[in-house]
Amino acid sequence: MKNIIKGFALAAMTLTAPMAMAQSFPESPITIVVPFPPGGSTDLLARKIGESMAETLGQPVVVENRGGAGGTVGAHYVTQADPDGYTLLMGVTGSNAISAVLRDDLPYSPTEDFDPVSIVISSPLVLVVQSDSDFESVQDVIDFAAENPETFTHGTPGVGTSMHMAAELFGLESGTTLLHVPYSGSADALKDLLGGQIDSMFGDILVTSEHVKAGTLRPLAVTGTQEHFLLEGVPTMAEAGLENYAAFSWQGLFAPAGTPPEVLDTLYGAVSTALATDELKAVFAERGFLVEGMAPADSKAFIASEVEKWGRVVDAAGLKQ
Amino acid sequence: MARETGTMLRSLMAGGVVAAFGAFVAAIALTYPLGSAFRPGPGFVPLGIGLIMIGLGILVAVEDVRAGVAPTPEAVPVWRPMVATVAGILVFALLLDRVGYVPSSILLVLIVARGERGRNWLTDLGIAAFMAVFGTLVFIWGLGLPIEPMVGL
Amino acid sequence: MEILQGLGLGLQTALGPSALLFCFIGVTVGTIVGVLPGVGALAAISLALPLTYYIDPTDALIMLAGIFYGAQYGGSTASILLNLPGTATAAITCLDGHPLAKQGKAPLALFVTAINSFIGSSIAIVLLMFFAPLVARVALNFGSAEYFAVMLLGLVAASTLTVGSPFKALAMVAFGIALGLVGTDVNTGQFRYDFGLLPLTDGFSLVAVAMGLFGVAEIIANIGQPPGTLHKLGRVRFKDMLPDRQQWREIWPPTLRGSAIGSFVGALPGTGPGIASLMSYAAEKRISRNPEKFGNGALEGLSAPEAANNASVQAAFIPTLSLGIPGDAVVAVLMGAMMLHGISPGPNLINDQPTMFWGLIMSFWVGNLILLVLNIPLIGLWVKLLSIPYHVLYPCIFVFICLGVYSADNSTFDIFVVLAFGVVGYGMRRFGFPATPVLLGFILGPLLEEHFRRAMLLARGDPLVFLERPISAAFLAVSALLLASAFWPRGRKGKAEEAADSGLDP
Repeated sequence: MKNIIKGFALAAMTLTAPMAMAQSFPESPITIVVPFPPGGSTDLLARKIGESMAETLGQPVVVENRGGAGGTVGAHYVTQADPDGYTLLMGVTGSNAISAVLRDDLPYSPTEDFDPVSIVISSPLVLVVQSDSDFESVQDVIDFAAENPETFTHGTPGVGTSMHMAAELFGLESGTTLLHVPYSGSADALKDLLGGQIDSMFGDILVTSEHVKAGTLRPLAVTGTQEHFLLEGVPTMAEAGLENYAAFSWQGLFAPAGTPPEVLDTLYGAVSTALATDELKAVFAERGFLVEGMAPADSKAFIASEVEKWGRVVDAAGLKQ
Repeated sequence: MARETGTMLRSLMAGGVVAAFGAFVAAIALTYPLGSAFRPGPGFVPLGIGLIMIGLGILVAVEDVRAGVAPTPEAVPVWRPMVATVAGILVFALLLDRVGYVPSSILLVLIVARGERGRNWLTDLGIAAFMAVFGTLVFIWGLGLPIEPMVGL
Repeated sequence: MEILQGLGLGLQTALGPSALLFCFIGVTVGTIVGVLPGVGALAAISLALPLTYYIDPTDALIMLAGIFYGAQYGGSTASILLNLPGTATAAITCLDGHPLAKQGKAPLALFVTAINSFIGSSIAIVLLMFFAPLVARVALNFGSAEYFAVMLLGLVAASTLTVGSPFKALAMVAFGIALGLVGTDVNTGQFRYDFGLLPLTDGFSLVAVAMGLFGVAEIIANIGQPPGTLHKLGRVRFKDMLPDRQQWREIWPPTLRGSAIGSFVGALPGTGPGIASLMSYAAEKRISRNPEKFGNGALEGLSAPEAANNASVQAAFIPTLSLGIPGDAVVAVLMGAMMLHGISPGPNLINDQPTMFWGLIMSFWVGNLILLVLNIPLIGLWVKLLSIPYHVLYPCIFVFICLGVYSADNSTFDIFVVLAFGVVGYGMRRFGFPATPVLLGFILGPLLEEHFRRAMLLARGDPLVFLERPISAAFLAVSALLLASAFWPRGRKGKAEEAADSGLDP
């Protein structure tokens, strides 16, 4: 069945092929490596963007899932591909920034081994507590945690995840120490939050907003710099009292370092076209993603700033492996 | 008499391997932080498991020696099937990404078939051809595994 | 009344032409991948998932779910006939299923698994239909201390379920736990036993370990051996499949108990069908009057876990559909599929998407019926596979195993893993170490450690937490009893004495 669909896609592309004749790249199919198994948001993003890019570029875009070790297996795989623009990575905060500062033995460098095509989307998190919790605001949490260090618990899907980092940044900015309770997945943490085993978590916007609607969880603040459309009326951390606080998870398209700038520009053009389509806008709105679409140079600078920021947090929290 | 000593040694071996493996696990566990009761570290459980395995290895050895009989009827090692299997799978794993599915699966079938004496090469080639076609159709075409049927084709 | 309306709506959806078609495709694909050694439901769903970007979300879910529970039906086939389990569930099925096949009763064994799969599923679906929110709320009360106690019970059960030396079984449980340590430590992010290999930081793949310890080891041992009764079956008549009156009596009670245990375990997020099978097998063996039958083709030992694993698969949808928390790893991928379609599973699903919610549930009935109808005639075909000479079959099985483990992560690394465990498994057989406890230790160990450390963290380091919480204390007490009884009365007694003992029992 997959091949029938592929067949249709190829037929459709042959019709649009003359548009692509003018340029030499791409001349063969492009592969986007998703460093996670199918079914996650990174996979979705890669496939949706890939479809649209295939139309613009006149070549099929194939998504390949190479999961493992929090995205670092897939990322490492891409750094070893030829820097010709035909093998790309849909990288995330973990694989392309945090892991670099967390681990010395990472076999690649997020800043030196990649040429970013574009940081495509970002997504803030939200600090939630149970709906019958005594904590009504971020200030309540700070006041309590200031008096009782290592007592206020927050659940995360593991060390070095963006949810964990958001919480460590919270501690750093507010001068408090929360008690980190790691889980092997965010769903496990959510289960314990709903069951009252832990006090809070920095949760995914989409999943959490469903529980907020159902009245089982109470949002205290979003970690972004502006109000989020899925959680109207919920303040940002800055509005709630932590002025310099901002934490996102993001996803972006990366090529191996040494990819020719013209190729990066062609790819970036295709990404920009994709982001402007109504279909992708609808997908992003459903999923709670904010569209970034940064240019290659901006993306490079952004990655550097992220590595610097999380490096500070990792050092302050003493998390280095 | 020599036979009895051999049995005794083999009895000791089963428990010995378990205990040695436990020691290995425990030794590596010591290189990880053990943590405290409040926050048991990454070395806590591995150390415990390693020590438990040492203990169980000793118990197994005592039990086997007391029973005094050869551990299993399969005690005589059969090397030929083992060597053929190991070689076949190794070749397949090493070649799959380099030359593609069709040649590596043919080699896999032909090599593991050597595990038995006196086989008909024609039958083996038939099986190999069948699996090459079947695997390409079901796994690569049908399930969409990202493997080349044959590299460079 | 709301439920009745929902059922009507669901039937309407599930019996629509496209839903029926995708349900059929799903369960058929599920049966096939279940039968193929090495390809599990997780790999199959992951591979099929991208296709569903192009079809209606309800149909997509019906199909993916069909693959999931369809694979549970198919999964027992290769285990019973060839002793080739690809999952923990199937490893339990092997314990008594394969001996039955060796006695020439393969058609009966396959029939019983098909019927029991259906019964187990049905009971759990009823639970899902009427009591999902209630069951989910109970599951939320299980914190890490309770999970730890449940997992410990599972481990103790694992060490008592095979025949032979309890010390060897315990040693193999510990070996399994040690294998489960490999990978990234959840609590600190530390890599353990990775030996500098990046793929090892996720730990060994369960499929690769199972396929190695059972599949590859079994084949190495069988190569060049004269064919046994297993391969001398003639034509399969329907009569051969049907249990007789006495056998029905042996099957019924374990089936119902298995369904109950499976539903309970399945509804607990983060467990899975392997644990359900194990618990129900151990329970049957413990309450049986002749535990020595277990492992030699006891029908009780086949029917209870088979009902339990299917019940647990269906019950895993309870926390998923009512709370948005996946019951196990496969359902987590299904949940991902929902989110791809812009549907967020959670407390509002039943109100926001009643068509999908009830359609999916009713499709479970449809799918299970199709599976029953599909699988019973197939028994003849599967059994016929056994008439293929082993020297033709085994090279093919090696290809399937290699491709199967490759498909899980698209990486050749797992092929090396399967090979290594094949050699280890062969060595274990020679020294009389059972393989099943290894697999169970491997599955339960990481959960045990994770929940132990989290419970300690949340209790601020006070080990009494496990005894202060009533549910946890109860499970610990049962574990202690089970452990004591495993070593005490059976100890060094001969078989005859033991039989005499049980004969004196009123």
